[in-house]
Formats: sequence, structure tokens, C-alpha cells
Amino acid sequence: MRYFFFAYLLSIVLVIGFAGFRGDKFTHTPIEIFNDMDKQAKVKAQSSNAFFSDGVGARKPVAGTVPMGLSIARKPAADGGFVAYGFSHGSDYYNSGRMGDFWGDGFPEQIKVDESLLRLGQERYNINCAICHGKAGDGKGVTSNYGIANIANFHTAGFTDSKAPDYRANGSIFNTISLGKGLMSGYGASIPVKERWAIVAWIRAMELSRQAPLADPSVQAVWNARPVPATK
Amino acid sequence: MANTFPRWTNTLPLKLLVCFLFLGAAVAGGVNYYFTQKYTRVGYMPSQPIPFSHQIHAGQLGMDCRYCHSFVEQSGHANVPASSTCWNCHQHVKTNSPHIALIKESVDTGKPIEWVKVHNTPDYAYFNHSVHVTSGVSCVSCHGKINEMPVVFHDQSQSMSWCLDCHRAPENQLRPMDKITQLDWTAASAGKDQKEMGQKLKDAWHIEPPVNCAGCHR
Repeated sequence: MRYFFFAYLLSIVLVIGFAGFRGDKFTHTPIEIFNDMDKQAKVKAQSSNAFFSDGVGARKPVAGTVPMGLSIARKPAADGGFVAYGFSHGSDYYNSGRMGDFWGDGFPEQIKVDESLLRLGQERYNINCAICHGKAGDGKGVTSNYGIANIANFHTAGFTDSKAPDYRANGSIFNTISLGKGLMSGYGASIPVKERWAIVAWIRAMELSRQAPLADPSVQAVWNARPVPATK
Repeated sequence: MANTFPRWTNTLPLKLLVCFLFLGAAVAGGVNYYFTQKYTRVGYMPSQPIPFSHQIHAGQLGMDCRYCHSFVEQSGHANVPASSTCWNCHQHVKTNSPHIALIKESVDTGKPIEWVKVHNTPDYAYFNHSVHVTSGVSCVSCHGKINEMPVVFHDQSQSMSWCLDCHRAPENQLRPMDKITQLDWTAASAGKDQKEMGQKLKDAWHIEPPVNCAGCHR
């Protein structure tokens, strides 16, 4: 009996010694105890696949084709065909920011500028743009501390004054979001068209916020309601 | 006539019974403790081809999860970013690092970086990221505090019973939509009661998670 308990305790210590405890960090591939059908022979998102010569499961569209699942406009862009939530295709103002040979200003007719669009723009701006351009649009995002130079400040004349020689119209800002400019890469692959216009609207809203006339009663009301340090 | 069985055999059945009881208890305890994802998956911390730190990017720098995992709100699969996403900043920042050289090579050649998948749903369960993050379930509920992990590890068991715990009582996890990617936010930190707030959100958004088999296995 003594020997049994000795062996018993020893084997428990051995098992714990080898197997450890729950939550211990480890780098080897996890053990699968019942792995029936856990791994099926199908192409999964962003995984490798031996069927293709380059081993990449995620395929790019063949040139000149449109992938399944990507909505395309039913009518040509010239006849008002557009996709509310998709990626750029077409040369109309909504999809390109251009009107003929020039950048367009104002918003395309497909975009209704209201508070919900501004909120969407604010959210998407804070996700994608604020890291460099700053949450206030002043070009002082966190990356400016890490050696990224010449970040655009949206409160300069080139953005706010339509008479300035380097003025960026809405269409130009849209194009910069889509394709990038100078040191900035394009974000067209990760921000759908509608959200790009929402970001343009939010940039304009931030610009206005620093130019709001105090004579305007609604601006006055906001100014009066601002938090102030207590005097005593 | 001598005894066929010596005296010590009198207690043998009892001793054997005790031994088997102890052995049975140990085996049951061991299976219970080890044969579960709480043991087999929690703590899985593979080394990645590039030692990307979520702690620096999502924690210190305050980047939103969706800067890189850009389609998590639209797609069932939460995408790992393309190398070009890293390149947005790292064409300027830390350009002399050998790890950034790997990113550059990937951007130039189009050959993807082979990140190791940490969380792996079995192929017969169809988990959809978009429906969860747009229904008020935060990243932190399933992935833990990624913003504090220099190397990402498997934080929650993600077993079926764990899924069902939340599907049966989603009010314990629901939070306002603008707090989904704020991993440090808790109801308590905002001075609210999670259960009460979760119940309100559940009613307002009509959150009725499926608890039938076909909800996830189709």
C-alpha cells in the first residue's frame, strides 16, 4: 500500500511536471485531443494553398475581371449608376474626385451631408488618419514624434482658403485618401468610397471649427458652455 | 490442512478497491483539467516571423484595431493587414531594422509574410467577426487585452461552452458601439453596472444570439 501511494504521488508530480498548468505560455503547435474535421481541405481566408504554384490561397482578380461579391453599378457612371458602399470604379466625381480635367469641390450628389455622415467621417478619420494628422487635424499625430515629417495640417490656407494657390478641393482630398500623395500612401484599398467622402466632410468640419465666427449665436452658445478652470 | 489463502489476502479486496478509487480519481481529475481548451490552447504564444508588438502599436501609440484589421466590421474574417499597411508608416519609421527589411521585401515582391495564426476555429464552426463587433461585443471579450501583449497569446479558451456562455447571457459582454475597440474600457470604469447596461443594450438592439446548433454549424 505504501508503495502504491508513493508511485501514485510520484506519477502525479511527473504529469504536472511535464504537462504544467492551465494558462502556461508555450510556443509549440497546440495539441488537439479530438481533432475530427477540425482541419478541412478547403481554401480559407488569407491561408496558404498548395494548389497554386505560388502557394498563396488568396488570389488576385484576373486582369479585366470583377471579383464575385463585389457589387458593381447596374448603370454606367454617366447615367447615375453608383455603389453606395464599395471600392472605386468609374471616372465620375463620386468615384474619382475629378470633374473632367479638374478636381471637383463640394460633395457629389450621391453623398448627403448630415450629422450621421459627419459622425461616420469622424470615426473613420480617427481610425485611419488621426495617427499622423492628429485628432484635431493639425498634423500633430503620434507618428510626428517618430520621424514622419511634413504631415499636412488641415488648418492651413492650402486647405481652408479656396483662393490660395495650393488650395485642395474636396475632390483633391478624396484623391489623396484614395491614392496617396507625396510621403503618404493611398488608403483606397482599406476605406470604401462612401467613407472617404465622409472623411472629407469631417476634415471640412474640423477646419470650420477653428474659423467659427463668435458673432454667430449658436457658436456663442457653445463658447459659453465650454469648460473653464475654476477661479477659486 | 494449511490455509489456501494466506492471512494478508483478507484485506486485499479492500486495498484494491482503494487503489482503483484513487487511480480513477486521478485519471478523472487529469482528463478534466488537461483535456480542455483551457489547457490546450490558452497560453499559446507562437513566435511570429516579425516580432510585431501589439503593446507598442495598439497600446502606447493608441492605434485603433481597425487601422490594420480594416474589414473586421464588414467581413466574417478579421483580416491580417497587407504588408503595404505596415509600409504606410514604416517607409519612414525604423527603416534600418532588419524586420522592416522583410516588410520591404514583401511589399516589393508581393510575397506575403507568413504570420502564424493564434486563434483557430475548427472548420465546422462558422464564426463571423463582423456580426459580433457590430452587435456590441468588444475585441477584448474574446482576445483579451491585446493592447498589453508584446507577443500575442491565446487568452480565452474559445471552446464551444465558452461561446455558449455568452450566447446565453450576452448582457455580460455587450458595450456601447464606440467602445468596441477600446480594450481598456469597462462598464465599471465608466461608473456603470455591466449587467444593467448590457441588458439595456440587448433590448435596444434586439440582440438574440443563436443557441441552436445551426447557428454556428452549418
